[in-house]
Amino acid sequence: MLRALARLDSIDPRWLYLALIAAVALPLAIDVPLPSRMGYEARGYYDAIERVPKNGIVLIHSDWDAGVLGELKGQFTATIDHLFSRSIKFAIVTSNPQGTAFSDSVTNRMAKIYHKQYGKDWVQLGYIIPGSNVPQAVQALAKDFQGQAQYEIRYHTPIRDIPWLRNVSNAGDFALIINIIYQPTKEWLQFATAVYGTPYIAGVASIASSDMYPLLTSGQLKGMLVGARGGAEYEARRGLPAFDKEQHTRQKTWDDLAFATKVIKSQSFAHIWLILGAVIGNVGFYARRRLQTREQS
Amino acid sequence: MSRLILPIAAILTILIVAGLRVHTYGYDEIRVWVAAISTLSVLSFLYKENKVYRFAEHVMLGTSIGYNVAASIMDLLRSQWWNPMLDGFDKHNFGAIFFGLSALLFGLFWYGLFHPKTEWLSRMVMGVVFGAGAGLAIKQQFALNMPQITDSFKAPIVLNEVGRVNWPHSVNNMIFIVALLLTVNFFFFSSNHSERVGRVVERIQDRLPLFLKGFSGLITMLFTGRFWLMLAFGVFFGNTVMTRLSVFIERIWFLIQGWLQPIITNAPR
Repeated sequence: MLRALARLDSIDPRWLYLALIAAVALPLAIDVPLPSRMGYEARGYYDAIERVPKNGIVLIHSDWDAGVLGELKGQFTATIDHLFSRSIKFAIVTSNPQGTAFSDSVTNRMAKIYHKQYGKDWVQLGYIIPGSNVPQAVQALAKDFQGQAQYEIRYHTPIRDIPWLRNVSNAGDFALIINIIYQPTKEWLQFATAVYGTPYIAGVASIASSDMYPLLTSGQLKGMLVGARGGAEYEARRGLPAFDKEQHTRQKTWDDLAFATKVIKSQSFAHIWLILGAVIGNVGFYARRRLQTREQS
Repeated sequence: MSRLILPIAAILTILIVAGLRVHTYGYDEIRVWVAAISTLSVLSFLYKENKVYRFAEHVMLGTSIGYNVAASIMDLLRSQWWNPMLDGFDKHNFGAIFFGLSALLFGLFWYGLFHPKTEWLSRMVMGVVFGAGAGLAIKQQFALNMPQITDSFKAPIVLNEVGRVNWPHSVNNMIFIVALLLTVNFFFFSSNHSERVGRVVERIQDRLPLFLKGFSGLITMLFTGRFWLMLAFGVFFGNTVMTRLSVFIERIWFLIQGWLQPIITNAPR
């Protein structure tokens, strides 16, 4: 018995990887209803968007790309869904050269669902925060929006020719700044919130969330979505899975809405497997140690 | 030669299936196949280090750098430097022309770094960049960190609206204050930490009731601040695992639902 248990200590890691793949693929075969309760971080995020007045303009700093798609795509989709459903106009900027293509792919699809028009309801300002000079660029954008973001990138229309953006001169003219990013750009707090009082909310990867909690408790950050979990909580509050069935225009595929809810289901299975793996590893370790002691004596 | 039969057969099968799908459903299939093969190539590292993984790694680095250069030129330089400067020439706006040309000049100074005789030019721009960075960092201490510092002054006893003690909130604040003080104490290097804390811990351990003697190690750890640090690192690690899993899940789902399922069911994507 002890010898069999000791063998658990030397399982080929490739079997463990295979089991992990099976665990994350399981929710594809079985639809497990997992309730998602909204935490105070996600509630703050939701409430901040709800508080934006109908004629308010939102600035979205979206930085996610293929590397963090699993964590942030759900958050971004639900955010755009929320803004479009409330007919709030928004401009998107990025500090990641690949960010434009990813945010465009989701926003274009959502714009079709809500019959929103590019230029009239939203614009893409593109890569205007260079990754190497984020603090300087954020400061410039917060201080002189017209000077820093001169053109939208799709048709190259000057910002001064877009009626709803014409009067935006600094960060104070935005009703809300939303940052959906792997590691949040705290410079927005420094140059927009502290100077102009513009509220700031962030959707971040779980790995970067620990750093942001002090900002949340101090009230500088009004709300936060923590990785796929935050996305799933926000989707649940938006009623996206139920909405999915009602709207015929929305196809129920893995790539569609309620993306974070689907990711978090797989993640729950993966967590169960990781806990099991830790138990198996420890049992194997102690069994081997006891076996060695017995053999020596 | 016999070792090559399996990989060659696998490549041929992939090519035949991909070719049939592209023929039936159009060139959009190629996008999915490239993504699937690239994903499998990277995941092959889980089996063992191999040349396919290396190739995929280099392709990814190359394409992302190439894309970044193109995006920097088209999105950043064109809209923020080139077009305003051309506008300046058209409208005889000498301010815009001067700004554009001086940005070009200062930008070119960076490349002075590549020759010993022109290295001094790069130091000029470096000075400006570092100076601006230092200025922003000083501002950050006040604008970003001060609210967090004032927020850490928490009352150990919190009263609710009717004047009674709000115990959950109070206990939360007390834990926060203890953790804050002990962690700060851990990083106070002006005197020997072990001796400083050791004396306090010894006194506490002497007074511990018998049933708690067995936990003296844990109690010592609690008082050295290490416990609170480890707690924080544990949270960091847990969150790291969550992020990595989300990324992995999305790829596995793509392989199963986005790539394999339409092939098996012979359906369009």
